[in-house]
Amino acid sequence: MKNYKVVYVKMKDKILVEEVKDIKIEDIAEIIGDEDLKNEIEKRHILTISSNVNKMYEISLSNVIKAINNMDSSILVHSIGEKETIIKYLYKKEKQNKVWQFCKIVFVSFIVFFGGAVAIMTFHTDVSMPEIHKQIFETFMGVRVDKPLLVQIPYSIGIGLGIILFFNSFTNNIDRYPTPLEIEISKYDADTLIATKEKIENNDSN
Amino acid sequence: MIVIKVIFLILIAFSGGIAISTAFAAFLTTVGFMKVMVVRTKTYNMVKFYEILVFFSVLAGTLTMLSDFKIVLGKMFLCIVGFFNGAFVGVVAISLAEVLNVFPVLKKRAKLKKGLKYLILTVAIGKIIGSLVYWIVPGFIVK
Repeated sequence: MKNYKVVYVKMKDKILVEEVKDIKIEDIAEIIGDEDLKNEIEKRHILTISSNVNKMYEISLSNVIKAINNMDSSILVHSIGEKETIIKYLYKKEKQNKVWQFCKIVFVSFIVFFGGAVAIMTFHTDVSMPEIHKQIFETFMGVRVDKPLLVQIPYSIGIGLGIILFFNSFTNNIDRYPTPLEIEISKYDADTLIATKEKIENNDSN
Repeated sequence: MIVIKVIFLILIAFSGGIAISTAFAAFLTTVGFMKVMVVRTKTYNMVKFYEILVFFSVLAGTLTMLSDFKIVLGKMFLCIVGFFNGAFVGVVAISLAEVLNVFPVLKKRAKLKKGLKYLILTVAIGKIIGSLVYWIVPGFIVK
């Protein structure tokens, strides 16, 4: 009876390579199994990058299984995790430009600040909030005032508290669930991964 | 008797504030305005800072509307405020279109394969011209 050796292959979902043209299995996947077998598989070469520009590649599980079977056809391969890895090849190392990063942060901060302020002002005008405040004050106090401060000040405090409650950004990092914004960003990243795979496959078939 | 009325008043105003601002923050997050900008500028580690900034901006907007708060900082500052205000409206408009799948449906129905980026460029130019006409040419603003 043939003696099967079992290895488990867990592919990474995306990797970044800079200026290296020789990709080995250990770069794109994690191999779990017998120690010697694992070392031998990990050192096997799987892709040579032949491009002189930035390019995206995709390696699927089938390439890895073929490479392992070429080496030794009695190995049983189980896959856990992703079935494809996206390789982003950078021809030159990307320089981290701190000044440009700072400018981008300042730009986004200004948009968020002024945009948020004007958005809530237009919202209040849309629903005629000053009129509503005067109406609430008149209902409870019997007098119509031009500036119902007793309503406006708690209202402003409530507005601030509502934002803090929603985003929850003032608690410790340790017991903080991802905020709604981080959830949206991670959803977007997951969608981007799917779209990137489709785009690479379309480009290859063209 | 008047103490109870005052307490009720404060309670109603306070809960009204919380309800409005959570709805507003949920709108901002779902439309994806902040998500788009964070992803485009790749500044993922500043998310907490942006959220605190939203807090200050909402507070500033509310206080401006409801009180006689004035800081006079000159015409240049006004230009800057106007520019970023417009940038915000533009980002929200396009995020809304993305959320409602306007561009994907257009691409499939009109069978556009390559011109999508030029389409977006023309939309942007159209919005600029439309906004200028709206503000400058008399008769568009209806009282």
